[in-house]
Order: sequence, then structure tokens, then C-alpha cells
Amino acid sequence: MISCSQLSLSYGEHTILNQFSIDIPSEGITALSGPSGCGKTSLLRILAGLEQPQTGTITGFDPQKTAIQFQENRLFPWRTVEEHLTDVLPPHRASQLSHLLSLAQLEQAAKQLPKALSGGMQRRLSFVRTLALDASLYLLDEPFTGVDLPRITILMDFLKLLQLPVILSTHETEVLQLADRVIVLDGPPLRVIQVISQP
Amino acid sequence: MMRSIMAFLKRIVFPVLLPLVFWLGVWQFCAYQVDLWVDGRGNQLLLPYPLTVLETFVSLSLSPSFWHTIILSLLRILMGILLGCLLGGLCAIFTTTSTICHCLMSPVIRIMRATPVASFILLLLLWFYRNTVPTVVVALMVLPILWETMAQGITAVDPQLLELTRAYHFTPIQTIKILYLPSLRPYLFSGLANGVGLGWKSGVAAEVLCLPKLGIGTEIYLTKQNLNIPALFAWTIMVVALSFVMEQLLTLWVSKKGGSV
Repeated sequence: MISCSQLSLSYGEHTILNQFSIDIPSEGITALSGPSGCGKTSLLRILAGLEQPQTGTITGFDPQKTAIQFQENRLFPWRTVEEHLTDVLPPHRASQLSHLLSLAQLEQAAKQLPKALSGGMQRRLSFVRTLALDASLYLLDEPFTGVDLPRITILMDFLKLLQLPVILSTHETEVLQLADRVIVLDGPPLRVIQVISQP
Repeated sequence: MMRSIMAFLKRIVFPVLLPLVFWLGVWQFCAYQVDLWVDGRGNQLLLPYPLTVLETFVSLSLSPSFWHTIILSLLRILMGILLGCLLGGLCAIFTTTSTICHCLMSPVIRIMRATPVASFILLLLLWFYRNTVPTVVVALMVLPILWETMAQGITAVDPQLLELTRAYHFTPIQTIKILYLPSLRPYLFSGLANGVGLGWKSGVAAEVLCLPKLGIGTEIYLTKQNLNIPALFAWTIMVVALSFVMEQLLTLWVSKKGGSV
């Protein structure tokens, strides 16, 4: 179980988290749903070790073994699609390059630079780049923005096959339906409204 | 056919041939006026004809020492530019990563920028061999330019990409290769474009004052001693041409390294 206990985070007078606590099962796909700006991204960034909460503790996973997909694509304008993956793929998984390209349906664009890709293709590249990292917890911030439904289904099926805990934030109802559980949030400051477990 | 003619006009005629012919015409006209109004050796002492300069250039270029002189000056200035780039890059790294370094080094570099090149040359002449002074002077002139542009480049690196390299556990070498070098390339390009021109100007000025055994600056100094103005023009045109070629080659090298931005 990933346990966040009494987390507080504020920027100046703007409080994002105020004594926020939550337990998330460390298996399957957990979707975080809530209005924009409620604090979902901040929670994911804290879990990834990119933000330090002013108070509170997090237990149940190794922060060094998390992989985060950022809300922005954050692609290198001068690196090709293929290079984005080879840059992060560990040597023992180098053979998975073609599989990841095929998963993102980017085989034809392997030698292209990001500027030649559509918004959806860039998002898919950012998604598979995160999966190329060796991690024991994947944190995905709005991973399917601009991605069409059939591809979302394929990518969600792949996430289930990973058999590793995935926490993602999303607004898409289709993604919420495919997740193992949905945590409905509100804020700021962030609070849990409802936890829905799905079969 | 029409399109290729237009392309030729746009690429060669308008930017290169037209200004060249125009300014050669202006030069020829002025030299003719000098010839008309000043008696005796007016052209030889004040303003030679373009053809006289060309003849001088050809006669100079037939001598093996001409090319030897050019190669030595070229090497001195190129080494100075590379040294200036290296030191400027290091200064940029130190001053952008450490506030103490920034406080300590910024005034020094600002003083270097404001110090007249002649003061540097005369001072360095006391400390270094005369053959080495032009290289050191060029390095000192190029250093502040590269420092400033590279520091701008380092501070302008996309913070989101920088955060990504940390989150994805990139090694320092990966971060430099994948993020910093491509991000800095336009800044290096701009710094080199300014630095090469200044490097040639200051390098030749240093040679004029230091008089190394073989050097373009030494030859220019001798033209003054011998009142050989056509040779002064010929050497000057050579310096301009070399500076232009070096700038083109260095910027081509920088633009080829690391793919397109």
C-alpha cells in the first residue's frame, strides 16, 4: 500500500495540500479524477520526489524507482522519436525499442523530430518514453490528452499487462472506466471525495 | 529555366556580385580622381587602383613566404579563438553555477572588455614571447564574447527539460550531450560569428605591434615602413577573406554538430 500521511504543501499563501492523507493500493491502475488545479499534479510530483512537502510522510514504495510522465510532453526538439526512447531505455531492455515504437504506433515516424509529429503522436511518444524507464511505480499526468479512443484502449491494456502499480490523473471518462479504481478529488486544498473500486 | 535564373540571381548576383561590382566601381572611380587631382605618386601613396592591388596580390602570392606567413598567422589566430572559446565556456559554466564565481569573475571580465587591445598587447609583450602574444591577445578578446553568449545560453536552457533529465536519472554526460550542447549551439554560433572577426582584427593588430618573424601583421607593418600601399591593400584584403572563410567554416562546423535545432 502506498501511504501518504498528513502531507502539506503550499506556495506562499496558496495552499495545495493541507494535512492530506490517502492510501493507494500498490497494484493495478489508479485514476485520479478532479477539477483542473485541484492538486492532482502536485500529488504526482510529490510521489515522484520532484516536490518536497512541508509536512507529512510517504511510505510503501521507493521514490528512486518511480517514472513520471509530465503534464507537458517535454520532448527534445533536436532528438528523433527513436532517440527519445534509446536515451532512457536501460541496456538490458534495448531490444524493446521496436515494441515500444509499435505500441505508440510510431514505427513510421522513428526517424522524425518532434516538430513533425501531431499533438497526439507527441503525447504517445512521451507516454512510451516513460514506460521505457525501469520503474516499480508509474505516475502519469494526463497521459492521454489528444490521444484518440481506440489508441487509449490499446495503451490502457498495455498498462494492465505491466502488472506494476500505475497512478494516473485524467479527465477522460473512457480512461476512468478502464482503471481498476478511481479516486475522485477536489480542491485546493486537495481532498478525497470518493474512492470507487471497479471490477 | 526561369526559376533557376531567378534562384541564381537571388543567391549569387544580388547578395554577392552586385555589391562587389558596385564597390569596385566606387573604388576605381575614387582612385581615378586621386590620379587626376594628385600629381606624381598619388595612386601609389594614397589610393591604388583595384587592378594594381590585384597585380601586387598575384606577385606576393607567387612567393612561398607569402603562404608560410598566412599559415602561421592563421594558426596563431585560430588557436587564440579556440582558447578563447574554451576559457569563455569554462567562465560561463562557473559563473552560471556559482554565485561566488559570478561575483568574483564578472568584474574581471567586464574590465577585460573595456581594456584597449593596445594596452593588452604591450603588457603581454613583456610577459610572453613575441610569437605567442597574438594568440593570447586573440584569446583574451574572444573570451568575454563567448563567456557572455554561453552564459546566456546556459541560463536559457529549458527548465522543464532540465527537470526531466533529473527525474529520468540522466547521467551528467547524457545531460550535457542531450540537453546542454544542442541548447547552446545557437549561442555558440552567435559567439563565434562575433569572435572570429574580432579575433582577426586583434590578432593582426598584435602582430603589427609585436612583429613576429613571420606574420601578416609584420608584413602590414613593413608596407608602412616602405610606403607600399598596394601591398597594404593586398594584405588587408587577404585578412578580410581569411576572416570570412574561417567564420563560414566554424559556423558550418557548429551547425553540423548535433543535428538541427
